[in-house]
Amino acid sequence: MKKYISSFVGGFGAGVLQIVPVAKNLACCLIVPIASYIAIQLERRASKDNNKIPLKKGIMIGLITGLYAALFGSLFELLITFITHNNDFIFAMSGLQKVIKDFPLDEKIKAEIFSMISKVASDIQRQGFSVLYSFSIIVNNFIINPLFGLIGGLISVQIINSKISKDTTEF
Amino acid sequence: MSYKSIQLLILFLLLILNIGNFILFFIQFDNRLAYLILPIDKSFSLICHQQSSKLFNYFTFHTLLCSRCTGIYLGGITALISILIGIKLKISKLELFYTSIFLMLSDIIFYTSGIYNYSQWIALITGFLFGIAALNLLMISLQNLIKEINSENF
Repeated sequence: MKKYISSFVGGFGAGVLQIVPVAKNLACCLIVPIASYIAIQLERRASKDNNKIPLKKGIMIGLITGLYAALFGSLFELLITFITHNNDFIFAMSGLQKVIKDFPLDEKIKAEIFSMISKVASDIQRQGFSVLYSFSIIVNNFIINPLFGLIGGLISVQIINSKISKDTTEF
Repeated sequence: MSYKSIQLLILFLLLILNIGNFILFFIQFDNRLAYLILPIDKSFSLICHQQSSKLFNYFTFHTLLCSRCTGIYLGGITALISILIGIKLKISKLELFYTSIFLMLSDIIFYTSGIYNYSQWIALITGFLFGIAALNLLMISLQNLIKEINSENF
């Protein structure tokens, strides 16, 4: 646990920011990669190591940051949905229904999709919980966040190492 | 796993992402794709804010990701295809990366402070540049990672 405390800090921050609308609007898909960068920098500071970072270590920190972000992101999202009986799916639902309604689709397909959306929305509004919604949140978070964390970790190490190389040639 | 197979895996992932983003266009060819709108839209909500005013509009359709994210993933796939067919950038990848971040941040600051109105084309182009730069940097990192692993093994 202590070994990955920087990933924990970065992942927790990313998990919180993922549910804050303003932060989400500005940072968009860059929240988890930026969290990985911060986690790697924190790790460097904590270990007082100014040498180049091995890429394997960067990948590991990025991946674990992504896993923490997925864990906290899912927890906060499900908790807030449970308390408020509302979330961004409810907001986006009418827009989504309009898109499908305007499409030249088979009426049977349209009806099935509408009933699926309505079922999820009514479960959330009545109980604050939907099995399908919770399942999709957890699966999506645990696939996408570690992947973006891993990519962020790789690119961050490349940037940090390039800076170290530049600094050592300058002095 | 060789560098070539990693490149192809990333190409496959980017291809799926881009097709998912333009799924509203593809539905006209196969109506059953409409069942995928809900799960794809929900998955994309993790990597993009998906504000309806910032989605990229084309013909009578719109993307599921915002204009900037659409640019990032289109830039990523363009850069990867360029690398695969042997087109190499003559400029420093890191400088391109910093420039693209600077342009993207400038656009965000300018439209949020009201200097100009949000433009889906500016967002798309700045995102596209960032996508190219980030993908190039990712590929260099992967090459270095493979070198690092090989040097440990021998």
